[in-house]
Amino acid sequence: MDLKSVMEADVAVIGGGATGIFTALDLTLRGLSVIVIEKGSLLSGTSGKFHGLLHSGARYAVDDKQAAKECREESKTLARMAPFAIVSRGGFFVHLKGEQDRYIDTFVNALAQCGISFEKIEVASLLKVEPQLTKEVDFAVKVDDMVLDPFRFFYSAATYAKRKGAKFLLRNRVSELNPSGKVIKTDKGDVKAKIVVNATGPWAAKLLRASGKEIELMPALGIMLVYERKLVHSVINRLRAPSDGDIIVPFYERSILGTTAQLVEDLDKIEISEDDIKLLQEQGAQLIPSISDLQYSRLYFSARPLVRGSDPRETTRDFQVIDDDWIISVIGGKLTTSRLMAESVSDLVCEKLGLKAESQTKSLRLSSAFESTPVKGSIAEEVYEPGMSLALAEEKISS
Amino acid sequence: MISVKGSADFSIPSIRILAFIRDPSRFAGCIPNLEKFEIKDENKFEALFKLELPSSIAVSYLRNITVKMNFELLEMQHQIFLKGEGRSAGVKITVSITMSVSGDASSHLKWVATLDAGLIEKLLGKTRLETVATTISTQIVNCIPSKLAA
Repeated sequence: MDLKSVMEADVAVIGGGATGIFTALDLTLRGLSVIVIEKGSLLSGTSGKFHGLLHSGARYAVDDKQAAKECREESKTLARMAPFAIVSRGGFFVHLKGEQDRYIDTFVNALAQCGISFEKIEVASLLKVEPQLTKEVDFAVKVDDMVLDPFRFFYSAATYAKRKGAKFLLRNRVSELNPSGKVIKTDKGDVKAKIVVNATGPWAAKLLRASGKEIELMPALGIMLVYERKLVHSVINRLRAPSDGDIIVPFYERSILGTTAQLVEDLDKIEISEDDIKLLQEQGAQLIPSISDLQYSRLYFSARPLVRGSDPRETTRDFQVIDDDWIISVIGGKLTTSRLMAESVSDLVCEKLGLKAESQTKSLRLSSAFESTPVKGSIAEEVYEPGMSLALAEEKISS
Repeated sequence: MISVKGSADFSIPSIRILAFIRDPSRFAGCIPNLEKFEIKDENKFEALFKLELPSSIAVSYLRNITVKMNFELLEMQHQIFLKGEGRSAGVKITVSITMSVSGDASSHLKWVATLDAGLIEKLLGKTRLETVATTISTQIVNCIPSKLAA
């Protein structure tokens, strides 16, 4: 759209990923006017380039119990909110012969401590259900991992937010942030907002630099390899301390092998090493041996931002909110907990604006913006258009 | 770049300690969390192992990083040099270790290691990287007598 005049809103959310969309939705439902500014299309950053896992919390139970409990609740909340976006249900953690046995007890005890549902599974019966799995498995537990299609989910959430009044300015870059005038300069014109939420993920430091602020971020890349066949029916996680190549996710008729953690200095100068891809394949083949004979059809990667903690002894945190008066930056976290992050940022925004309104996103029920038959009486009835594709959805969402 | 050093005394003849260190197939057994080991040449070997980072790294995906190193072993009298190049967390790593053994019926082992870990040093900070390097070196050295006793 062509912006001829200054647009105004209570809140400008910069970044159209999971956290940005949920923040826009949350604040809109609380009665605030919101404009989302995104340099690309929705989910063109980290949120659209992950492996699709809706964490049961099991992966974090040993090292980060708080995150594990949050994932346990939030995965259920998101699955209830948009069951149409769930691609597959159920996951297994499998332990391989020769690996540290003591980690099994540590893991199982941690699941119990975090209240995460699990069930010990006979290896023989698991191998019947997942025949591609290595015969080296000697212990397995079933957990409530799920796979989520982020595009179905977040385009539907964005469509609902728009229906409720949020505006989306897509393919629109921010060139300057002016805290004194409370103005955001963008390619398509100025946006005036009482508060800005910086939800740009690994680009957060770059955006803040536009307002003269400095924070130190170190992006960590995660590489994912896509195989054009369904190697597994459920999510297969390796039961060991989190490391490279320890998850295989069924995504519709494909399989996604993830992931790595690679430190990079500059997001604009990323080079993927053949050695790192080979390492990922080797680790994946330990779970699914046929991977060593398969060629991946494509690879993709996304960056997770690591933030230096306020405590100098703490180098990084999973998720941080930096309140810098006009600009609130929300950095890091997981897609599974993006609603919760957005709720806490929205609470802060409302407090700063003196608005007493509760978040409504937890009990929200969405319908797919893509479904061919809308559910009677659902939100989809309001937004449904036959044959809606991603491109059409984006066009509809763009203000 | 960091540099760490240490020493250890063993009531084992130095000749046995030296023989152990200069044999990659035995020495590699002392690398903690070793996943894969392959002798490439008489003096060259590849090792793949997991390295546990300190709990101050709050993100789970960086707590256990995979390290893949190619080592070359060079020997001069009572000194052994181990030169390594590899990758971890997408970062190029180089390491150079000098070990010297003295004594007769019992032995005194001294080691000095220099490590260039690029962004991993930036992530951890110099002091914590030194702690990690010292810990792993000490684990390896302390493992030697148990392997010789076995």
